[in-house]
Amino acid sequence: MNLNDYLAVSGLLFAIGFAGVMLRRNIIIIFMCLELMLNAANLSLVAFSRFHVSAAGLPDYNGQMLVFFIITVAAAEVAVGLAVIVSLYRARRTTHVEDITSMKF
Amino acid sequence: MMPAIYLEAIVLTLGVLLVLMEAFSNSEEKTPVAWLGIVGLTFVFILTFFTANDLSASPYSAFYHADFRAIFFKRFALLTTIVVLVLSIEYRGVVQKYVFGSRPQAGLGEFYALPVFTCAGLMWMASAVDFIMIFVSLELVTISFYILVAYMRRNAGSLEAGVKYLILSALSTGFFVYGITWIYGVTGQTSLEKIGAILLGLKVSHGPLLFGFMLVLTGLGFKIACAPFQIWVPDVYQGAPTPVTAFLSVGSKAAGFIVLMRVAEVFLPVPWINHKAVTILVALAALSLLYGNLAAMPQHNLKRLMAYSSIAHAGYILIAVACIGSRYANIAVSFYLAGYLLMTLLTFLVMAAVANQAGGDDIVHFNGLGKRSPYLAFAMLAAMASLAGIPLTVGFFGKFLIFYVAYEKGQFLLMGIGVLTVAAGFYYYFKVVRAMYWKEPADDTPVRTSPLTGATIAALAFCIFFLGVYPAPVIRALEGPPSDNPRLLAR
Amino acid sequence: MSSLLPWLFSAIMLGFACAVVLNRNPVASALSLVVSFLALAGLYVSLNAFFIGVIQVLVYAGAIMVLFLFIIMLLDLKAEERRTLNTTATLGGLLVAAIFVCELFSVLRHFHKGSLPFPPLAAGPLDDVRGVGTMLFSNYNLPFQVIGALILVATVGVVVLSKRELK
Repeated sequence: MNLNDYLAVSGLLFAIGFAGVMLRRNIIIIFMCLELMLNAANLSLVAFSRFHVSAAGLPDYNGQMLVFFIITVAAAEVAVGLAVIVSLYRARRTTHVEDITSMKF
Repeated sequence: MMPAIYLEAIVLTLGVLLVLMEAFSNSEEKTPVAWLGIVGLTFVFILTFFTANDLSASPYSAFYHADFRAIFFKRFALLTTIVVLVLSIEYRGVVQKYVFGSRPQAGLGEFYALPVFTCAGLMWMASAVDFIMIFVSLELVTISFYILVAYMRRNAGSLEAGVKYLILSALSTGFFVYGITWIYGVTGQTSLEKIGAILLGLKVSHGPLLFGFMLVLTGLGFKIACAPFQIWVPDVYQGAPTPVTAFLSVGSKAAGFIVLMRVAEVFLPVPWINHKAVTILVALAALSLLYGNLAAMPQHNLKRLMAYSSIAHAGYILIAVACIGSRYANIAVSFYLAGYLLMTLLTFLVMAAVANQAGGDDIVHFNGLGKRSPYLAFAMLAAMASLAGIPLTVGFFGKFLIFYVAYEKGQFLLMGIGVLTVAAGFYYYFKVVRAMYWKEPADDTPVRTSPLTGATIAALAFCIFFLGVYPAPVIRALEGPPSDNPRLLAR
Repeated sequence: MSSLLPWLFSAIMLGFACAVVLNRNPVASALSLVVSFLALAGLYVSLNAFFIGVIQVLVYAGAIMVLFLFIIMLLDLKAEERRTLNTTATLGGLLVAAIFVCELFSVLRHFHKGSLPFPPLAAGPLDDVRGVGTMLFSNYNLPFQVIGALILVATVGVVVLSKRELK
């Protein structure tokens, strides 16, 4: 596989995640699809980092740094997001987007 | 002279201190937490005048620049947070009602402490000159907003707003990160300065880079709340606790704009990007102006009205962003944001005071405010006049600068739409004024405010008129000393 | 590594990602996501990013997905019966996704650098934990501190949002 193949795979993963966000009505599954999108970005980053080889023959670790930060942020985001979803469930007994449209003008 | 990087460290320490104070003090009363926060942030605000804005090498200079504009936005973040804390004290009764707690003031301590962390994130973002740093500080701000928006967890509206903000914000993060990936992939760099150098070197593939730039623009579009990425704005603004709405509409938007400006300054000077990017920015500006102003007209909830107005103001600021390259574009954006801070925070302060008594924030609740408490009504009048852009207010001068920049760059279409939508703005801002002065009040009791809130309202209203007549101090802070200002000179 | 394995991992990853979107049962979706992430870890290893691969398994497939499953079980979510798809959202979503994919492939067709084989790495074992670690604690010290603040905020927030009764 060359770089473009990895990028294509990652782009497809991103598109699947995005389609899932738009199609699914269950907030928890929407949240999982968002994780897919972040992982698509990670895959491209790692592929690019492998592609930019330094003079010493090492992959460019700058890209992998960003991957590391994205994974950490995603973990924090999931923790907070699930806490919000649990609160919503306790208050409204639902995790469906159709059920949370009390505000309309 | 102190290195600027200490400022964030002090703010962060203050935040930790507030959390510890909340956890270990036995007192039932949580307001001291907010007081300490206000005093601490004011102290840091004073410190910003004694920081060295040197661009010389420091261990962190790859990520962190303390140029005059960064310092300006740090002050901006600090002021916003201080007013938000004042607003939170005013609003504490409502939060108390919707939080599960064994003691009356349970949960309020964290409500006062979290904005301080958000402030640290905003300050880091003001200085961030590397995509990794931008991403990390942006996420610190976003995650603290997830918590704050959904804070009143027995209130269905707040939770709904929280979930909507969570999903759409995470979506925008996805786009933003994917865009960064492509920019890094093509240039091999994440630092804005180095990317700029590579872009001008003409040895990069155009398509992928443009693709990355568009994705980054999409992600930032969500943050600055411009159309067509505005779908989350009305519901989230309406559902979130009022102090958080104020914070979102000022802090989050300003942070989005400073990142957008830093990114645009790198990409727009490149000839083959400039044309396409400007077209897109113009389209975004026009859409936001039209959508925000038209959709605001039929609103009868003031918070929702402010949401649409916030979209419209994003449109005005985008006009100036589309004109980057003009000498005054930067100043116009920053000045407009400064004015927007004053008038928006003032609106929300009065709104919180009125809502405390009337029990709601519809425009109907403002009926007869001119008779009940003329002082508050006058402050609201100042805010509305400034939002609409009436001469002698800071809002007028902000719009004037923006239109001047657009004129200089020959963006006549945008100027036309801008002027037309200003007229639309008059209509809905004056709905509020009409309710205050020409409608009969439901009851005649005056609205009570604490001395602190009253003083803040007075200060903000004074600044609106003062800067409307004499804007020089802010402009000077934005221009910086000429020797300190290589970018402006280079143009 | 054999040249076939990355393709296999890609197929598994994309297939199970589709399963996440298409499954009605949230538990099945979550488990598909775990498999997808494991395959992704395989892809990282094929790109010589061993440390990131390990992190992917430990943090994503391990911690994050366990959290998801835990919440799904806690809320006792059943499979969705209602399938009244909102046609505008569905069509809009698919349209945007399709435009994105088309755009991506047109970009990739013109990205000639990307069709070259990967440049070779230095011979010998790749000490990438040391490489990543050194960088994280030296050059990237500042973002690392910010991440620390972020995790503190997240911790406080989770407690505030989900503790049954605050004091």
